[in-house]
Formats: sequence, structure tokens, C-alpha cells
Amino acid sequence: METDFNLMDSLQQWRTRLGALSEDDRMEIEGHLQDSMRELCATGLTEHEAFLVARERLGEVQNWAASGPASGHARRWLWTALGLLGLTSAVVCLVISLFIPKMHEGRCVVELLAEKSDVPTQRAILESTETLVEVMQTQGSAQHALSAARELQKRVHFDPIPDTAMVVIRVEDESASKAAELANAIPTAYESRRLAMDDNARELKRLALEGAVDEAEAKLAKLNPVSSQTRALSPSLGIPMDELAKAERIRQLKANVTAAEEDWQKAAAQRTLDQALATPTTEAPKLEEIALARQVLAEARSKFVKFKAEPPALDRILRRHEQASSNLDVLTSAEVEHLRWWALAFALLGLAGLAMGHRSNHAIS
Amino acid sequence: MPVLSKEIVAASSRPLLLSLLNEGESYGYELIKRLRELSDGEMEWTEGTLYPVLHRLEREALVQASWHEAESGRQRKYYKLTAAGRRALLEEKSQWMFLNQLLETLWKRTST
Repeated sequence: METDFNLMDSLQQWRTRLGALSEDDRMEIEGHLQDSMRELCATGLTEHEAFLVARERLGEVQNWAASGPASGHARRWLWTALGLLGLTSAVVCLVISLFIPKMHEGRCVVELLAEKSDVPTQRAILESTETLVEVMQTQGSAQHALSAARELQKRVHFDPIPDTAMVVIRVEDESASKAAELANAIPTAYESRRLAMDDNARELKRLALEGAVDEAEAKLAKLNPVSSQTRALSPSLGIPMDELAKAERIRQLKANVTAAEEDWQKAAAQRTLDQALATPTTEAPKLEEIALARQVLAEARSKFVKFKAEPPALDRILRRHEQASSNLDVLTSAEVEHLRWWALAFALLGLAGLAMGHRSNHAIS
Repeated sequence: MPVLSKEIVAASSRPLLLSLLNEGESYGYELIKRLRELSDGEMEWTEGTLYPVLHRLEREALVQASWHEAESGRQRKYYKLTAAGRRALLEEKSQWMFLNQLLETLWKRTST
């Protein structure tokens, strides 16, 4: 049995039972064990027996071998200071959070009346900065509408309801009535923008149709150059328009012959008049062209008249499902919420610190 | 000599330790041996009694610890009394003397 004993192994095993002792304490106790063993060996005990007796005398070392004074005290004070710091920070966070004003939420629900494929575009218009700028302009921030809109953007939330064209608009504000007012103003501003956009589109369309009519009229006038006076007379006299046009031209050419002062000028004017008199009333191909031009003009005019008769689709922009009212939710703002979480964390840290400090104090005693 | 109660051993450990260290620098094992010798083996400290008291005296700055090399070559922790320790010893001494006289007076009275 004796030959199996290994002092180093036994010491190593014993050391592991010492628990969380400081190196200082461990060395002191091990020195004591070895002093004790040496004396026991001197009385005739074997090394193994001496080790067992000395170890038994020491007993449960971790119960009485307190850690070093400096480290123990330092640790105690460190924990206590940490605890107090944590609790102080918790109180500071809590107090600050009490001074941050409460927030209210204005909430309304709208439905965008648009084709399914157009809903994302309309939602982008609803949520755009330009819409919020218009909101702020109606709220009396005309001078700094853009910066006010950017500020508002941080307090506005658009929550689309899945699989529908409906959007929940939420606005946060310190004032309940203001939050409601802003929430309701957003769809109004959106409608206003949509109207303006529609007006622009209608104006462009009107100009295009007007242009088409003008172009058709010009083309016809070029093919059939009859004065407006002659054109007006044509139906009442029962004479075809081209006959009147020819007569008018011949009258003009005759006037040219009369007005010519020189002989050579008179002769040239007379030649032109003779040519005109010799020309048939209207050439056949030209008549076809005129008919086609008249048709184009009629169509252009018809389109323009139809467009003018169409009412603008202003009532098909938006449907309000829920208006924001003064009965609003009171929110805990994000800052307050963060501060309260921090306060809780600090409080827990503080309590843990104080508990550890108390425990260290108890261990030292 | 009757066996000393745990309470008496515990209560006397502080003045005894201060007195032993007043004789000179020493270490834990030697202090136990020295007390055993002085009491002719009638009084003995266990390590569990000695070291907590010794460490408490160190925390109170009544003793100062330092490491020196022992004759075996190992490092050993020695304790010596500080000036505050010497003042504390004088206080302990006066208190124990007072108690001793008080008890003697009382016991003399009862014996007569």
C-alpha cells in the first residue's frame, strides 16, 4: 500500500479541494500542511500517514481560510460601488423618463381607389415627402414646410393592410388633437396632390387634342384656301365651296390686272388670270384630299368635345374607413421606453452589485 | 487542568495571538506549536481557529504579513505586530487584567 502513495499526486488532489482560494492563502496552507507532515514523519509516521493526519487536522480549509484582506475588501467595495452606481443610474434614467412628455397617436384608415397594379404607386404618393410637405403647408408651416415635413416623417407610420389597398396611417404627437389633425390631414393632402396631378394630366391631354384640331384645320385650309367670309356664305348661297373659292381667286386676279401700272406687269397678271380661268373648278385628287382632311378634322373635334364633356374622376381617389378622433391612444415614446429598460437594467445591476458586496462582506467576517 | 471550552478558546485567541507575535515574527504552524508548548499541551489551536483570527488581525492592520524563504527552501508567510497591533495588545491586556481582577475579587468573596 505504502509504495502506491505519491505525495505530489495527493497534494495535487488536495489542492483541487481547496476551492476558490487566493494563491496567497493556498501557499500558506500548503506550507502549514508540509510543516505538519515533517513533524509527524519525525515521530515515526510514514509519509502517507503523515499526509492523512495533517490533512485531517486542516479539515475543510475553504470554510475558514478567508481570502486576503486587500483583495477581499477591494472586492467588497468594488461590488458595493458598482451596486450604488447601478442604482443611481437607474434613478437618473427613471427621473429623466418622467420628464419626457407623453405621446399621443392619431390613427386613421383609408383605402386607395386605384387599379390593383397601380396601388403601390399610389401608396408611394401617399407616403411621399411631397404629401407631407402639403400637410405642413396646410398646418401653417409654409416657410419651413420641407423641414417640418421631414420632422413629421419621423412620427408618421404607414401600415398597409395585407392583400388590400387599405393603409393605416398613424401619427405621433405630444398633443392628442394635433395627432388626430395630422392623421386626417395626410389623406386630404394626398387627395389634393392627386387632383393636381389629374389636372395636369387633363391639361396636357386638352392641349394635345386642341393641337390635333388646329393641325387638321391648317391642313384643310392649305388644301382649300377659302376665306372665312366665303366659307360662311357657301351654305346660304347654295354654291359649292370650291366654286366660291375659284370666283374669289378670279376676282383677286382681275383686281391685280387693274392695279398693274406697267404694261409688262399688266400682261403677266393677265396671263395668270387666263390660266386660272382655264383651270377646272377643283382637281379630282385634291377633292379626295380635302375630304380626308375634313374627316380628320371632324374626328379631332369630336374627340375634343367628348374630352370636354368628361367629368374629372375626383371622387374616385380615396375612401376613408376610419377618421382619427380625439379619443387617441397614449403612447410611451421610444425614448421613454429605452430609458425605462435602462433603468431596469441598472437597477438589477445595482441590486446584484449590492448583493455581491454583502456576500463578500459576509465571507470576510 | 480542565479542558477549555470552545468559547474560551475563541475569546482568548485574539489577545493570545497578539501576545505571541509581540515576542517576535512568526508563522501559523509555529504559533500553534508555541501555544501548545506554553500551555504544556493543555491548550491547542486548530488551524481553523488560528488562521481566520490571524487574517482578521491582518485586515485590521494589527499584524503585517510578508513572505520569506524558510530553511526548507520553501516560501513561508510570516506575521509581525504593527504599531497599531502593539496598541491593541495594551488595550486587550488592560481589559483582560480588569476581568481577571474582577473575577478574583468575586471568587474570593464567595470563598470566604
